[in-house]
Amino acid sequence: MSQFQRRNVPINPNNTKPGKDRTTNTFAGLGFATLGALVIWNSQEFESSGAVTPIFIGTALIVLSVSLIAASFLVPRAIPSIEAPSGSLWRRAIGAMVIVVWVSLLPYFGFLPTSIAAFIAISFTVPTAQVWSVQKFAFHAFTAAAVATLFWFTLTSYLGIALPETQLPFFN
Amino acid sequence: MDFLNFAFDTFTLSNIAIAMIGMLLGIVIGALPGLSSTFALAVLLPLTFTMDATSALLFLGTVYMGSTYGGCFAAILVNTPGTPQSITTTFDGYPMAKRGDGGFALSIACFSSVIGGILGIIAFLFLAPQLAKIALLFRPPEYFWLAILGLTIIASLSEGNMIKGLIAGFIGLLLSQIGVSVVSGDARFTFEQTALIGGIPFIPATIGLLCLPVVIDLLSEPGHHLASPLRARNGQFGRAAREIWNQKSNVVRSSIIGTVIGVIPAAGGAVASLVSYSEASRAAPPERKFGQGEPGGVIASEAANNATVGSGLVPTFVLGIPGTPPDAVILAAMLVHGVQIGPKLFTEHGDVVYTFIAGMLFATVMMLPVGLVLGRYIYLLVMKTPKTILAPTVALMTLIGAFAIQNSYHDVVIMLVLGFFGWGLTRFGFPVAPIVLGLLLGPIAEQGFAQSVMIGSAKGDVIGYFFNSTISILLVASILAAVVLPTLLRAISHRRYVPIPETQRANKP
Repeated sequence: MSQFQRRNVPINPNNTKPGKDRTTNTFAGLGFATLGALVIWNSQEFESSGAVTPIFIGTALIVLSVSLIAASFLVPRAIPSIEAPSGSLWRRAIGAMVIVVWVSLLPYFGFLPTSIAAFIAISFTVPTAQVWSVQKFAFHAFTAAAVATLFWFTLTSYLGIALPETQLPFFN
Repeated sequence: MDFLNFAFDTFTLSNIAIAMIGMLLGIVIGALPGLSSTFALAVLLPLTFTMDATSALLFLGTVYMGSTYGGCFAAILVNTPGTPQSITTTFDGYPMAKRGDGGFALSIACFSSVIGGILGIIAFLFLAPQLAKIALLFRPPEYFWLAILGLTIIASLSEGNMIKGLIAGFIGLLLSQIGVSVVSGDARFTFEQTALIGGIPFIPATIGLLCLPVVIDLLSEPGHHLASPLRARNGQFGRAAREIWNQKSNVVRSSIIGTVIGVIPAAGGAVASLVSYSEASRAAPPERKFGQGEPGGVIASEAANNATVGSGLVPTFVLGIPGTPPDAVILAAMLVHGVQIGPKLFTEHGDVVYTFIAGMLFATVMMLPVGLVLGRYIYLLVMKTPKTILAPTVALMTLIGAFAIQNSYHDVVIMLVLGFFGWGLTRFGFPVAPIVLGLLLGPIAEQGFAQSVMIGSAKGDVIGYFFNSTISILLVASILAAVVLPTLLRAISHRRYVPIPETQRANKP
């Protein structure tokens, strides 16, 4: 409970764990301050007119990062708390991996096969109360093929966009 | 009177059909995440080669207006801005959709877009020569301060999180430094990667930073993406009309801001919607919580970004300076069709210009019924679509949006890297919208800053050169106000808090 209240509302209802946030903000501040320093150091290689803006940005990053660290120690409750993500982190990680694999395979397998496979894989990643069955899988496979083909046809035929084709002889 | 004479020429069957088709195509393309107004115009430009000059301009103008409005669909319903101009629409539009007010949000976005669009076109019609003078008043220091103002505003909107907002803004500026410098020609921060020589492409970066985290978060929880409508579907039109009437000062102010900022070359709809959003939140009574589903936020953003469409054509038509990439495509179409740009355009090519303006006005008015009907059905479609289909479809659109702008696989990789970077930053409490704005404003800020330093050095007074005009001083004052005012207001509200005695505090839950 906050020491100060107005109309029964805490001063900063979000910030309930300033100690943990202080550590996070300190690490983030140190990281960005280091980045600012690296930018300034790297800018020495450039012509003076090309170096002036990166040096300005690097300096601003250092000043702001120091301010963030100072604020998290001096006025921790003035900084809103860092919200932990709701929902499953594992599903996020799996979804991210599916997208990485999809993009990695895109130049080799082409747009259509990878997109249909990724569509189905992402569908499986979404949490659902229903149990996956053969019918459900068939429905999602059909939807994946329909949506990906619709996009592919529209983009290649009407908008003149050359989506990646498969490079593997097996598919040609 | 010239306008009225030529306006009647607009209402031929072919011109009306061209305007309607252009607007519908624009709305559809703009609604897809990542496919911007520039993309819509560039892709559809070849279709105009067989048209006469009037029809070609009418078609492109309505595509531009439609795509600017279309950006609000994805912004409100999926939290993925269809166009950069719609970034601020996500701030309140998406929270409204989440709580079941998506249809209402789309309706007020439609009303605001139409009103803003009409005011921008009227300004273009009656004030073009006068507005063109504003564009000429901006020199390197003013451009620099304008870019910093944009960053400061978005940082100040990061609810009590200004330092993190500013850090994010400067990260965006830093990203804009990657590639060959426009000032010195140095290849900066490319790490010997040829893909980075041309810099970080804006559209893929925007999709990565704003859309990919949405896709990843869609996968984390079961249930439907949006809540069911709070009210009966049929009530949205009247409710939206009443809201617009209640917020008429917000609509007019945002449209004027959009009109004025649209005239300044390179500023564009993203800056206009940001400034008008900031002004709307500042002028609103405290009970209106901007950023938490306040209709005024959607109104401010949409009225301003559509107002820039008409006014942005002023420097293009009068001075031959395309203020934004879409204006450059329209300028190219004018040159292809032999329309000479310049102050005499309105007298020498009155038939083309006035017919174009009347057609734009007609299409913008027609956007109201079309937008309201489309909005209702698209909202219901997105609401009823299960996440198992919605999430992969949005993922597919983000990939296509990143790839399509330059047909480049590297852009997809950049989108992916920045997407994960943006998602990671949000976990540390850093907002990503300032990064996008920093990336957008980076080239303007750098050119303004470096040129000001060079000119100032030549004059022997670098610092003085940054402050030697009224506009510069006004912009600096606005920056200080954006930084100081929220802190001051918070300090005042702190003073109103009173310590609660221990005895009473113990009774609180």
